[in-house]
Formats: sequence, structure tokens, C-alpha cells
Amino acid sequence: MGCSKWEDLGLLYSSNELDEQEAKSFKDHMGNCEECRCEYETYRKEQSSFFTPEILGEMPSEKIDAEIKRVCSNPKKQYTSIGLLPVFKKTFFSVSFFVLGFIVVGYFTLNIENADKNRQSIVLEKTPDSSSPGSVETMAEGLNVADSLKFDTLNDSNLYYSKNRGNLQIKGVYPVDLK
Amino acid sequence: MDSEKTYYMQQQQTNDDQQLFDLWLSGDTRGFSGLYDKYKNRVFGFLVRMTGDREIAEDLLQETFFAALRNADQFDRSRSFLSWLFGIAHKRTIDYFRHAKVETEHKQDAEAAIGSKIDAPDQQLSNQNLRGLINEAVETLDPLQREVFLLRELGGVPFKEIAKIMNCPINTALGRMRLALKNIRKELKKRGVDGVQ
Repeated sequence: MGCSKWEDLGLLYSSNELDEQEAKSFKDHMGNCEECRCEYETYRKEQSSFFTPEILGEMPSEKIDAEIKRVCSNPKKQYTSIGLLPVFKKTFFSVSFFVLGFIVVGYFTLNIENADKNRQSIVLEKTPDSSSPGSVETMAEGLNVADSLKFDTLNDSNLYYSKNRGNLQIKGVYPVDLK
Repeated sequence: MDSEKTYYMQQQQTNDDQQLFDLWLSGDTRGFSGLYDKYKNRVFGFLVRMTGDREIAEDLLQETFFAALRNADQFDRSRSFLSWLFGIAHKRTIDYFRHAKVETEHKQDAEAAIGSKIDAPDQQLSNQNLRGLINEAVETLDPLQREVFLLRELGGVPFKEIAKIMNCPINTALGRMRLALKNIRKELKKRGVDGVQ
């Protein structure tokens, strides 16, 4: 059975982890305890003959040696290519994501506004005295009838009508007679 | 005394390493080459013995040095560079086992795995020289004992730091080391190496 002092302090003494007083106390103990002294000496000899980097270590291949040296030798270059690149990438992708988001949202918002404007600008009115089918006239509000845009507007209103026929007819809107 | 001499040698080595480390960070290629050539065999030896596969160990070696470079600002100059490097190598090994989902096998069944995976060149040499015999004995250790043993003997990591790295009480780390030494001696005796000359 091993000495309890060795079990508690022996390895720490061997690795120089005891404070000065503890180390001195253990050294004194080894003077009297043959078991501890023997254990300590055996371990030191094992360390110097068996547990050396030459015996326990391994040699990596030349290829990996060259690769590691190539990449790690210049840390300044490395900070840019390995350290900061991911940060740049992250920032770039975050900013791109938000910009794209704004563009998409902006596009739809503008489209909706334009569509509302178009819808508002085309006010179709039913003329009170024109009762027979085909004699209903349509005017675009705010536009001069003589304006060259008249026909476009009217065409638009026709298109609008054809798409929303049911709803518009309920509201008293009828097709435009272009003739 | 022997122990004091070792202590001063360690101190000298720590100072040398820190100078090389500063050179490395300042962009002088001699800094990295100095540190890498000095410690690559130890770190690689640790990784090979822990993973049991040279190719994986080479990847982990690369990752270890890259991580050291990336986390250079976290290096505590009161510690030894080698201990710090072994701490990183240990983390890489744990990550590898975690990702490979073989952590359980690593802890419980690693002896068989390592026995089957270890490289042919070493196996061929194992019966011919001391190096092979020692490494065979190390491979028979329980993975946790082997880890403490390699961190201490290859990395020179103090037991207090081993306990931190392995997230266990210092007495557990010391107990594992004692068992590792006992088992290595037993295995060497089995192989005809009876004690140190």
C-alpha cells in the first residue's frame, strides 16, 4: 500500500505545483519515507527515459506541415483572410438582406399607392339623360375631354370595367361606347 | 535539487515561448516556425493518441494552430504557451468526438477503437523498440487516464490546469494520473520492460 503523503502531494511536488512551504515539508518527508522517495525517483526516471516527446510524440506529414506554416506564419495576413472575412461576410449579408427587404416592401407599397391613384383618377359616371344602352358616356375626372389622353383613359376604363364587370354594374357603371 | 532545476528550466522555456509568440504576432515568420517546430510533435502525438487516427489528428493539428492564431489575444501570459496550446488541442478533440457522435464510445470503448485504428507504421515498430512498447502501453489506458497522462507528460500541463481543462476536481485528475502510471507499469511489465534502468 502506498504512502498517503505520496498520493496527496507526490505528483504535485513532481510538477512544481506545491507552494514553497508544502514543497519543503514534502522534501523533508521524503528524507524519512523510503516509499515516497522511491516512488518519486522512479517517476522522474520514467519521465526522462520513457515519457519523453521523442517517444510519445508523433511527426505530422510534410504536406500538413507546409500547409500549417503557409497559413499561420503571417498572422497579419491571417487576421484579414480568416479572422475578419467572416465578419465582413456577415455584415454584407445582413445589410443586403435589409436593403432587399426595403426594396420589396417599397415596391409593393408604391404599387398599391399607384393602383389606388389610378382607381381614383378614373371616375366613371353614368350620364342621367342617356338611358339607352350604348349611349352611356364616360369622363375622366380632372381631364379635359379634348385632351389626347382621353382615349387612353377611356381604354383603361374599359379594361377596368371588363375586369370588374360585376361589381361596377352593381354600382351603376356601364361599358364605354368608344364610337 | 532536481525539482528546482526543472522549475527554472520551465521558467526559461516560458519566457522563450513568449518571445517567439510576440514575434509571431508581429508578423515575423520565425516566431511561428520556432513555436510550431518545437511543439508540433507533442501536440500531434497527443492528437494521434486521443483520436487513434493520423488523418483526423492532422486536421485537428491544423485546427489547433488556427484556433491559437484566432484567439491569440486570449492568451494569458502568466501561463505557459504549451499548456495553452494543449488546452486548445483538448477542446478540438472533444469537439471532434462530439461532432462524430462517438463521444460515448470514446469514453467507454476507446481501447478497442484505438487498437483497431492506430497506424500501421507504429504497429510494425511496436515489438521492435521501446517507443512502440511505451505507446502500446499508453493505448491500453482508459481514455480519461490517457488524457490526463498525455496532457501532463507531453504538454507539461500542471494538474491544476488539467483539472480545469477536463472540468473535474484536482484530486480526480491526480487519481487518474496515479492509475495511468500504475497501468503503464503493469503493461510494460507484461511486455518484458520491468522498471526503469
